[in-house]
Amino acid sequence: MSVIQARNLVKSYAGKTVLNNINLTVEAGQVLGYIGPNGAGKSTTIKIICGIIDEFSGEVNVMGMDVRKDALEIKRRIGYVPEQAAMYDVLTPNEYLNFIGKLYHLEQQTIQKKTSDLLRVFELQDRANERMSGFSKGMRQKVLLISGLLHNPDIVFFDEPLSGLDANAVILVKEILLQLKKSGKTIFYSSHIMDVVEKISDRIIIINAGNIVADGNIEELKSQVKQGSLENIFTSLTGDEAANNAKASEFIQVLNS
Amino acid sequence: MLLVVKLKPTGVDIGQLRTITEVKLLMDSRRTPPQWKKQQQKQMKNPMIFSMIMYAIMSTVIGVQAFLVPSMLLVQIIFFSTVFTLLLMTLITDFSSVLLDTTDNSVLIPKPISSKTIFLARVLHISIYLSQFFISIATIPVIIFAIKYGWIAGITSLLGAILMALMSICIAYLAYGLLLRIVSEQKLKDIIGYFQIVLSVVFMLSFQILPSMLKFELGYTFEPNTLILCLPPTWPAMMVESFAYTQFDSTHLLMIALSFATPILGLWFVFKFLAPSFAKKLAAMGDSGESSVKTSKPNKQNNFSLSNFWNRLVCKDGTEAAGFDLVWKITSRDKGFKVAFYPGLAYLFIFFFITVFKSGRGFAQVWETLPNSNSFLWLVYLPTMISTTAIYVLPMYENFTAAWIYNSAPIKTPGNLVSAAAKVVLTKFFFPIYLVMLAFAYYVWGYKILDDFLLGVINNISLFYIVYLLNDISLPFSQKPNIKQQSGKLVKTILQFLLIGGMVGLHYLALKVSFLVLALILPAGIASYFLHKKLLNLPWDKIKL
Repeated sequence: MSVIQARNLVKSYAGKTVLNNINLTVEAGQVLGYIGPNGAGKSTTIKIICGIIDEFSGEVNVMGMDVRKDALEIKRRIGYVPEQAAMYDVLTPNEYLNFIGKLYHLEQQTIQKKTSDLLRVFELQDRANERMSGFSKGMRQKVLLISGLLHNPDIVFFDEPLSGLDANAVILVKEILLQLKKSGKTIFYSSHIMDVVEKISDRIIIINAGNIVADGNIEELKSQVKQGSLENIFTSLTGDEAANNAKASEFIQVLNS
Repeated sequence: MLLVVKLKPTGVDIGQLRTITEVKLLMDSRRTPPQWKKQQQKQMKNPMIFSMIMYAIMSTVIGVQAFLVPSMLLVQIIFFSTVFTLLLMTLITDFSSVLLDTTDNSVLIPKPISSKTIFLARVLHISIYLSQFFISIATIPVIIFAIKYGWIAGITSLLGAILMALMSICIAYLAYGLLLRIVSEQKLKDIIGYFQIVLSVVFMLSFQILPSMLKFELGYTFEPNTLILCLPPTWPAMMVESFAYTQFDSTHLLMIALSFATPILGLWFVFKFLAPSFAKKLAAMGDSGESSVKTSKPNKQNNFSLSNFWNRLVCKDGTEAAGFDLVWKITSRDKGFKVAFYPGLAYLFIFFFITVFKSGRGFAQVWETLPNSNSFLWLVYLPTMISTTAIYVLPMYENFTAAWIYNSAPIKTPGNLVSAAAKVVLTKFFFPIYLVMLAFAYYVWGYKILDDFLLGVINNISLFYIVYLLNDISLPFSQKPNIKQQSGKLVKTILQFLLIGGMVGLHYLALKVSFLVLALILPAGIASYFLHKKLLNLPWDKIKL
């Protein structure tokens, strides 16, 4: 059963095309890695599917509902963790999560219990009553992660969830993603680095300049790269040793000149 | 508020509405108003209460005028103008961070909240926020009016104040709506920054000068002319007059109609035409990607630039020239510097008024006798106020940690950097103001002041260097704002003023002997040169890190 369907998705900002005819379907329980270079249109796709941006052409269905008509119901059933840590940081984690929980109509008791437990898991319990304006990027990201999952959604959208996290937290979040997958959630995961996506995704979609350029599991993608069509994009996502070597030596040459 | 009650809430989730509004008000109570950001050492527990008390005190001063100013109409006009400007100012400066907060987009829009709920939450939030201020501004004066002029005047002035408040909302929305159409988000924030500067200057000026001006202008009868009748605060004032003194002639009726019609029609227009596109614009803000601030193109070497011109003229060493460029650019771009520095310009005018137009005599009388006085000496030395203020402002920088570069770069004499900063202050800020002073003095006194201004420029530079050397010296943009004690500021200002006064005194004595001023130019120049050398060669151990 497909839970996300996008057909002929086109979006442009101020005359500049950001998404150019995107077609994709995601099956229930699938982990989809949505990757591409910076500015490829990843965040825009996610925002459209989540009902955050409502001006676009094409059709998007989430759990059988039209995102234009039933945005509210869709938002209720999905979770969204945005990339930049935009949040009300004059609040404390407790206050912020309590606020978010109420917006999803969770019971006061449930919110409190879950909040304190989840903050403990992320080792933030000591700072639960401190204002977040003094928090590091990683700590904010943790609170943001909790805020996106507090209502236990069926589909979760992650937009670069690992940015700013320290090495330990990266491992923890990766593990959380895997466990979420095991418990049957559908995960839509965007990133500009292949590394983590490769390990947890059932399926990977690569987009570049608003177009889907590859779709399949990691083995299929690798074989496509060998045929040459994808090479440059793939290189920028995985980090090609030869190309980087060349750049580094050029850098040294300029310094010495 | 009325709007909320009247609208039948379809598609509005009351629980969410409540939650959002509560959180917003909680955040308001924690937000430091921009006016005080610079001065506050610690986070205030509840900065909003503080500003409300400030407003209440201001409004009490307005209210008390009812006992001092004989014309009720004038008192009312002053009151309504205060309500109007204070609320408008709050909306435009302080509240701009709320109106233009794009965090809403990323926090609220992904959540299952209907757009009607979000809109209503916004309206409710703004209404509650404003009414808090409104109450602190209006309560005391209205009570005073009711006591002084009777309860009818009290009630109508309260009604008038509400209409004025609505008016300020209209104007703020119009201003933002129009600005958002023309300029980008970044530009808008810059414009608001400038607006804050202008407003604080206007405030300082009006509190210092207005009372003394009013003294001369107030007669016992106050007859509004056509120009005054065109000003919005006059309309409700006329309305109060109508009801209090039962005057219902055609002028008064027109004024009553205007005071009701303008805000109501304005609000209708705003909600009907402006609010939807406004909301859309705001929603698009966060999404439009990074807006880069355009700066001058790096490859225009042929073009003349003032900073390059001065740089080549006054800096010789590589470090000094680099420092000059950096300080020149950052002082043009850093909002923190502008907000801290430019309001100081107002002091120039205030001190000029205090010293030249001493109270007791009429403005016109002073003006007539001005060419025979030696008051131009104040014009010569007052610009020192500007240059010395810069000494305290220049080291402050929000992103002060960037100053690590001074320590890691191989800089032998940091005095070069300090001297570069000093030279930027002199060329960029002091010199233009000095020229304005010179032009004004030339207009009033003629060519005979030219030698004084020549000696004056040298003495000003010396004074500036002396004050620089007397203070703790920090490298430009290397200190965290707020660290310096504000308590010493008044003492410093007084000391500076005494120093300037002393200089004026000495210069005044020199005027008595013919050609002495011209003769003094050379020794003054030599003194100035050595002071400059001292600052230029300042070693590391004299720098406060």
